[in-house]
This record gives sequence, structure tokens and C-alpha cells, in this order.
Amino acid sequence: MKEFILGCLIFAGVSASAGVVDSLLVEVEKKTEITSDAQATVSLTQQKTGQGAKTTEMVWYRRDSDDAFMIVMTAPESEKGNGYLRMGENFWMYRKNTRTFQHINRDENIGGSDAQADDFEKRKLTELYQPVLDKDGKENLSEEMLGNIAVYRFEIKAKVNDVDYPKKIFWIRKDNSLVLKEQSFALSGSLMQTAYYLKYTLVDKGYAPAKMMFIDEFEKGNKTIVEISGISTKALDDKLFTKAYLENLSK
Amino acid sequence: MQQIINISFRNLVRQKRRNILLGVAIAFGALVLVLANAFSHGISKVLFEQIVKYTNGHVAISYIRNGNLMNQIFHDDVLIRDAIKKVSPADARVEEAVGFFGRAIGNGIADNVILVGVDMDSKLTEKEMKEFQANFKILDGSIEGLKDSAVVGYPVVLAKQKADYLKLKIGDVMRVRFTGVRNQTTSVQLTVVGIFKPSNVFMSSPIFLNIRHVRALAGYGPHDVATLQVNMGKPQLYAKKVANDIHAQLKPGLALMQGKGECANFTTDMLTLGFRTDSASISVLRKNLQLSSGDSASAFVYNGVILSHSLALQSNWKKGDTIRFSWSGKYDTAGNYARFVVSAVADSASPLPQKSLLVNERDFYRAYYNPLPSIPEASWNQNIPDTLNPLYKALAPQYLLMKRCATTDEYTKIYKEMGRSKYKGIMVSVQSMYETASAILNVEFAINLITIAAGLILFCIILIGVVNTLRMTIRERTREIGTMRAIGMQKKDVLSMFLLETGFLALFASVIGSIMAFAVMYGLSSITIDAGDNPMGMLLVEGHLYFAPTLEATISYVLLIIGITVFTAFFPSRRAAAMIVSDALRHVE
Repeated sequence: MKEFILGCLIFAGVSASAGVVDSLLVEVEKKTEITSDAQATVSLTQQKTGQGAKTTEMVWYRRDSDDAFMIVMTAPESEKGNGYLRMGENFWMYRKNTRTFQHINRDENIGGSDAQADDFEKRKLTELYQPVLDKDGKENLSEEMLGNIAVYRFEIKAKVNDVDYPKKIFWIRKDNSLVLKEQSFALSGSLMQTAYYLKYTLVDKGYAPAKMMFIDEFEKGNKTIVEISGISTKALDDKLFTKAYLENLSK
Repeated sequence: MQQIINISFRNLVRQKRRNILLGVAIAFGALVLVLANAFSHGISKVLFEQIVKYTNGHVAISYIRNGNLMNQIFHDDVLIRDAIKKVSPADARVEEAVGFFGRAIGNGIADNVILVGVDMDSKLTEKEMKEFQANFKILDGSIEGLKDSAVVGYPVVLAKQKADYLKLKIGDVMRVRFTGVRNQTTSVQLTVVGIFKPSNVFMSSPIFLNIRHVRALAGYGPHDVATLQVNMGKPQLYAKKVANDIHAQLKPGLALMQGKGECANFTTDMLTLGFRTDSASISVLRKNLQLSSGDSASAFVYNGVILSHSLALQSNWKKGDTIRFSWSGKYDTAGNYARFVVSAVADSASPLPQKSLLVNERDFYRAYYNPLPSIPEASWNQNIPDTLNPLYKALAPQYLLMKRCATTDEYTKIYKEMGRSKYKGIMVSVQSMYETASAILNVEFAINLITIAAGLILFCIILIGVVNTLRMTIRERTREIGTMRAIGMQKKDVLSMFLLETGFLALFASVIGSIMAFAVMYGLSSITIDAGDNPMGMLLVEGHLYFAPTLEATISYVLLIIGITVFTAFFPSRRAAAMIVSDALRHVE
């Protein structure tokens, strides 16, 4: 029923183009929003030109009540036992070798990847982006086929200054509003990154991306594959989100 | 006394060979001390004037926004420039330092780069022009090409090493990706218009663009400003004072936003303030604010928004309402708007300004700097907590002024604190290069200490020679001493005679040693050294060793040498003076 209503909205939107992209964004957020405690294993394979592939594995825990999370690195060997803990505004990095917790900066990289502490701040797409309108005031929304899947393609632009990319294009499935492809553009209009959402998994009432591929369009040959497995939404013990627990894990 | 001086001088000349050999040893010691001091002072001067001056300026006013070390931005250039203008010497020059780390792709190869802005519009003095040309020894193209607007993308000048690595030549186009000052990823095409030979290792990795282009690409607005460097004549005299004075000029008040609030068909003029969300501030808020609606857990947290009692009463707005707050900018009159969801309402006893909204600092500063709001009308200043009010410290300031530091270590600590701080606004730091780079002064001090220690060891060896020579002289002249004492010369005159003789020797030798040191400096600094990529090349000035001798240091060394020599000569001279006349006259070799 929901899909039908959305389909009607979009049909009306394609012809009238009033607020359809916004409703699609809301739908995308709803579909993938986590509203419970969660635990998952994340594997991150980075391939850089001339440097080969580097795989990082971690276990990720999230507490719903205060959006706290903890990451425990499990591979490679040099990172094993290290971890990250965020509670409220505090973000710590734990180093197994020195058994110390370090308060980390918001611009610091996580586990040698390109992800930064700041990236973990939860902000909604609808708070950050708005539809791109053409000269007639219509949204840039169209229906396409991505491979053999029917999708909506729409463009959005940043409405705040502090986002990584000021313009994005999304391809979302018509049948279930899941993102299949996302392109990110620099202010100059250059394509910087393409993300493919290759696999989703059903989690409670929503979906979670299980495999994603991020292609660096600026430096050809660089790509990152993120695989998420073992997702569980069982309630997590509060003691998990403590420094002591993180420290004990690596003993 | 004149007679004693004459006798001492005659004795000095009488034993030429022995004294010349001893004098050469003392002169060599003086040469080493003066030369080493001039070299260490030269290193320090080169590091300060060639490196620190360009990277930090004599005085630097720098910023960090939202704890991000790469967010070097302040949104009110007029405020900072006015503060500098009020206290800087007339010859002071203010320059903006804009730089960003990026990734460049040349012809089939990528490398990390630093994009640095060059001010192509300011008029340079002859000296500055000479310095500029020494830093940019253009091998191909021209630096003036940075003004060229007909190229693909933007013009860029880079060092030969970087151009070779990226396989670029004049006219080639490179692509660069970097994160701008607002954290947005930016991609840009740059056309190579100049290739230069770097004057030091620090000049080989940046790529240079017109500062106007970098500012625009990085997202600086017309009144946004990056780190400002103040350079002046005689920085060793004025830099610290200027830094102190600029620091004193900057007095951040509370950040206030006057604007219009809209919600549920009701529009009103209102005031928005921010509150700090560190634990100390939250505890102050809990103690001083009572809530009539909502609870502390949702109000005094990193995403809390508290409505004042008066505004709630007038508007009927309540917990859970979303207020659309719009304001006009101080410079950008078009202004902007933000939405805040009310999480609690303060009661009538709470000391909040009339018709105000208290917003957590994260959401508040996102609005406050985007754009900077106009100064509120005087009527709004009523009921604003003053500095004596306990609530004051828990409210968000316009910016946070970091304390002055005394050493490089302190500066590093402050910088780390700025990075780790949970403060979401802009932190401002004012420091002179003598504090931020005090480690260089420590290096100079350490080199001087090592030199003096080595010099003193050398002098110990030389002084053994002095003592030995004097003992021989006294022994040879024993009968002469006896004769002089017999015809009426006093003990103290004998003592003075020997001390003066040694003193003259030390004086002439150390002066000659110092002159020789200047000659060696001249000779060494005439040799052209091609350091290539060697980092030690940064210690050279235009391919030459640089010495910075000072008159004070040279005179001090000469006096030190005379003092030590005379002190050493004192004991054998005293023995000579204390001889019994009859024994001295009977002395036979």
C-alpha cells in the first residue's frame, strides 16, 4: 500500500514536480533508519592505485537510547584490539599497544580509512540537501532502468555549507525506495565519487546495506568495498559502551 | 703604572718566538668561539627569517573552527584587521596565509600537494621584491602568469621537482582535489604557468596559486579571513609586544542573534543565544535555570533548545515546536534561517533575556557563522547576563580567545587543546614567532653552549701552555725580578707586570683570532653549495653558508679569553712577586 501511495506521489511529482524528491528522501531515510540497538561485523577493503588492497575488519555496536557506538578492530593484525568509543560528544580512540585512551579530533581518520570522526555525526539527508530545480522550477526527477531494475533518478544540492559534497544524484528502486547508486559532485561540477549499493539485508522492519562499493572518480583505480554482515538488533548491555569493556576486550 | 705597562710590553716583545706560538694557540681558540657563535646565530636567523617568517609571520593570528585544525577561518575580517592596525608599527605588513592539503593528478601520476595562495596584488618594497625573487627562481614561464585569467581553470606555479614528478610542463593542465574551509570536497583544474627552482626544501612541495583564486575555491566569503601574519621591522624588539597588544584588543562578548521567530502562525522579534555543552557549563545551567516544561535530560544536553518564559508566554510556543528563526547578516544583509526544535521551557525565575531562545552550541554556531548576524539593537542588550552573572560562562561567546604562550611546547599544548576541545565555535590564537618557534632559540642556545664547552676545553689545554710558559719565564727572569725588587719595585708591581704581560698577549691574540674568524666566515660564505634536495639546504642563503656575527658576542669572547688567561697567570705571577729578593739575586740556572 505504502509503495502504491509513493508511486502515485511520484507519478504526480514527475508531472507536477512539487516536493516529490523531498518525499523520496524521507522514504529513503525511513527505509534504512535504525531504531534499535545494533551490532554488526564490518569489512572494509580499500584498493589504491599502486598500493594493492588493504582490508580492515571491525565489529560495530550501537546503542539506540543515546546513539552511542563502539568499534572494535579485528583485522589487520596491526589494528587488532584497537577501538573507538563515542558517547554523547566524547569520542575516544583506544590503542591496544599502549593501553591508553585518546580523545580524538573530529577531523581524525578512523582505523587508517578515509572515514573521519565527524562522519559519525547523525544528520538527516533532508536536513542537509534539497532538490535541484531546473529553470522552470521543476525537480530533476526521472524514471530510468538501472540494468534491469526500474529506478527513480533525482538530483539534490546542499542547503547547508558543511557537507562533503554540494551536489548528489541518486538512483533509487521504484519498488522499495532503496538506493542503488549515488554520485557525489564537487562544487565545480566534477564527479568525485560513485557509490553502488550492491546488496541489502532485511533488519527488523527496515533494510540495511550489506555490500557497498565506493569508486573514487577523481583518482581512477581507487575504490573501497564495504561489507556488513551478522547484523543483530538485540538489545545490548550498557556495560558494552564503557572504556573498561573496550580495554578488557584486548587483554 | 705607565712604567709597568712599558716593561710588560717590552717583555712581551722580548720573547717573540715563545709568545707568538702561545698567541697562535689563543688566537685559534678565539677563532673557533667567534666562528661557531656566528654560525649558530646565523642558523637561528635563517630559520626565523627564511622559514618561520614565511610559515608563521612575525606575529600570527590563527583560528580553528569546530575543533577542526584545517578549518582556518574567521568570519569577521574587519574586527581582526582593525585590532592589528591599532597596535602594529607603521611599517608592519599584514598578509593572509591560505593553504590546503590536496591530491593532484598530473600526466598519469598522482601526488600529495599543498595549495598555497600568493598575494599578487600587494605592492612590494625593493627588499621584499628581492626576497620574493630569491624564493621563486623562475626556470620556465613566469610568476606574473598567476594573474592570467585566460587559462584552463586557474593558473599555478610549482617547483621543478614537483613538476618533474607529476610529469608536467608549462601549459599542461593538472587536476587537484582538496577539502575546502567548509569541509566540502572541491575539484579544480590548474594550468601550469611557471616552474621555479625552490630556494629551500619547504618550497618544493607547495603549488602556488593567486590567493584570490584559492580563497574562492576554498569557500572563503568576502569577509571571511584565514590566518593573518603581521611582519615588521626589528621583530626581535616588537613582535612579542605587538602579539600581546593584539591579544588585548580582542575581547569576545556573548554571541547574540537578533531576528524573527516563526511558528504556528505566530511571528515575533526575538533573540537567540547559544549555550556551551561541556560538563562545567551544563552544571552551571542546571544550577541557574529552572524549567516549567520539559526535563533536564532533554534540555541540558548537546542538542537541547530552551525557550525563555517570556517568549513562551507571548507566543504560546511549547516543547516540541519547531521555530523557524531568520536573521540578517552583519555583512551579508540577505541573512539566512535555521530551525530549532524546542526541548524545554524555562520558568519565570530563570535569568534568561526577555524573548530569547537558548540553543545548544552545535546548532547555534552552525547558524551563527552562516552568515555572521548583525549587531543586535541596543534595546536587546537589557537583561543580557554580564560577566559577573554565573550564567555568563555557560553561554556561547562570539569566539574563544586562546591564552598567549611562552614556548613552542606551550604552543603545541594549546594547539592540541584547540583540536580536542568540544567547543563548536571559532578559537582564536595570537602568537609571535619567538613563542611558537622558541625551540629554534633553544637550538641556538644549545649550539652556543656546546661551542663554549668545546672552546673552554680547548682553552684548558692552551692555558696549561700559558702556565707552563709563565713558569719558564719567571724561572728565566728570577735574577731580573730580584734586581728590580732590589732597586725598589714593590711586590704588587711585579704581580701587575706579569699579569699585564699575559693580558696583552691574550688581547692581541684574541683580537687577531676574531679578525681571522671574520676572514674565515667571508671565505666560507663565498663558496656556492648546491644542496639539491638535501633538507640541510634550508640552512643556506642562496646557496651560501650564512654567518651572523654580533659585536656583543665577539667582544664578550675577547673579554672572556683575557679574563681566563689573566686568572690562570695570577698564581705563578703571585709566586714570582712573593720571592725573597736575596734568594732571587742568588738564583743560578
